[in-house]
Amino acid sequence: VDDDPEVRQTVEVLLRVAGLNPPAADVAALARAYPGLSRRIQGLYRVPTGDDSPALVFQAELER
Amino acid sequence: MTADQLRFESVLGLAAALREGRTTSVELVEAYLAAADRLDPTLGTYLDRYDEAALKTAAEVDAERGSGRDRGPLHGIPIGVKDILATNEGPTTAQSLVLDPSWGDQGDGPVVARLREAGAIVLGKTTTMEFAIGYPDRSKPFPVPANPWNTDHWTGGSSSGTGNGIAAGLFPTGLGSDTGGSIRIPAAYCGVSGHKPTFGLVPKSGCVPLGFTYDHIGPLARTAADCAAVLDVIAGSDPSDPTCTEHRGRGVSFLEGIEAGVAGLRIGVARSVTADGPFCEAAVTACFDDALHELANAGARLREIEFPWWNELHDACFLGLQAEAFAWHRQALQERWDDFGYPTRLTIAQGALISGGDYAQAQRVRRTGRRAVGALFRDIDVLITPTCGTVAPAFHNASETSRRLPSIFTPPFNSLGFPALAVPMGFDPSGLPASLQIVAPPFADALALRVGHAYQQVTDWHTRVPQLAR
Repeated sequence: VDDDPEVRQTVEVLLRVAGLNPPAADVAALARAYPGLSRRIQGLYRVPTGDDSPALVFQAELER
Repeated sequence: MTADQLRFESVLGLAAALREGRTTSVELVEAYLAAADRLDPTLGTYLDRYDEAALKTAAEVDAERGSGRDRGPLHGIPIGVKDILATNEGPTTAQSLVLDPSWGDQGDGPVVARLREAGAIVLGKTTTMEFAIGYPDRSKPFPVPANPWNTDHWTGGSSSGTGNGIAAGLFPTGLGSDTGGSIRIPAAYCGVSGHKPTFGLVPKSGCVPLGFTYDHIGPLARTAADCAAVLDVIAGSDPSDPTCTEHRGRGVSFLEGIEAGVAGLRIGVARSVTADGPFCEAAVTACFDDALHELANAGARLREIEFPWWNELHDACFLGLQAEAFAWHRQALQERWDDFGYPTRLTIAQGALISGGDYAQAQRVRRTGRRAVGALFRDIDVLITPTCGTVAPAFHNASETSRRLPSIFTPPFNSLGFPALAVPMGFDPSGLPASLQIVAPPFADALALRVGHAYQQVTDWHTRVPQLAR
């Protein structure tokens, strides 16, 4: 998995879209981390969140 | 008792010594600074010291006390402040080459201002991990904080200098911040107490943000009661932080009622996901079992509970904070990638790999989790876990995050925003501290502190002092 060219390409694209241009060694490290990151993200969708809204903070009133 | 012998006294003990004229703030500051001269080159506690200003303030508060004014238990107490919090004395670096030097030019944030108003004396800014995330990085020109119990081991992060400074008797209390455990982990690894307050109880303006919806500012100290004394001063809304709740006004006392004990309290033991799980060392589990025994002997009613969505709430913390941190650091990462330390840039850049939908789902998991975990508190008053499944890692293991992250049992409570206190609960056979985590429902911080205090009345782990620091 560490050397999966598809994973590396995915990571490169996402970094490029974000305007990041890390050196090759750092891209490789991020590509190694990506499968684990993806597994953790997929795990979030196991939780039956139903219609729950995100626990974000948005102030309806103007802040002082 | 000399001022040097008082270095390991609690805040409340020092307050009594000051009130009774057994010492002065000037003597205390001199003793702490002399200890720092000796120990800081080894421990890497400070990023900056304010010796002159601290001695001047100490003389002023001594004069005040002499004239009959008493501002409370923090009057004349020296403190350390994690260097992601703005202070009047000097710039904030967040232990990074990247942070704009003008950040923090406005001076004290509300929490530091409140401590100062209560008479606390800022000795200096303490070390952190860069931008309060990651692990030790020797590639940048900043001190690497070492554990006073064994200097080949890390302090944990990210409130590292505040944690090791208290353990080594360089100040009796200080401020940290906690986004995934950054108060509780160094408290655990260094053998001191640390409290992550309820989200929204303490204003976090004046603190370099990491994860906006996960960040908390709170105290580290030798004892739970000392944490309560600091929380008494720093809690309460401030208009500069819209996430800080207004209905929890200042003046609530967390010290009041702290002596009530645990007799009859219902304590939920979340052990299947922590102490009995694959990421907890046997020595930590043994300390945890001893802690359960002590609490039961003190009259608490223990029952095991199944903690819902543990792994998902753990992940919702790191994924969410990485996305939020990336939002704050994106431009700097684009322009100054190499100026960030390796651990920091890789951790934060992972935020670019998380989609907007995934971030929203992490936030939905938090809401669902709050309801599910909140329901546990119909049948229990507090819940407990080990704070971490391991003792402080050796430096050469500190970067092994894939093994280390699941062994820290703090992040779910950042996802939930519930208050969580870490207190020392023994030592492993190599002499490194283990820690007990006490969690209460939102805004029941006083209850967690009360349980921690009760535990510290029947144990003496919090009084132990590393050989190196004596």
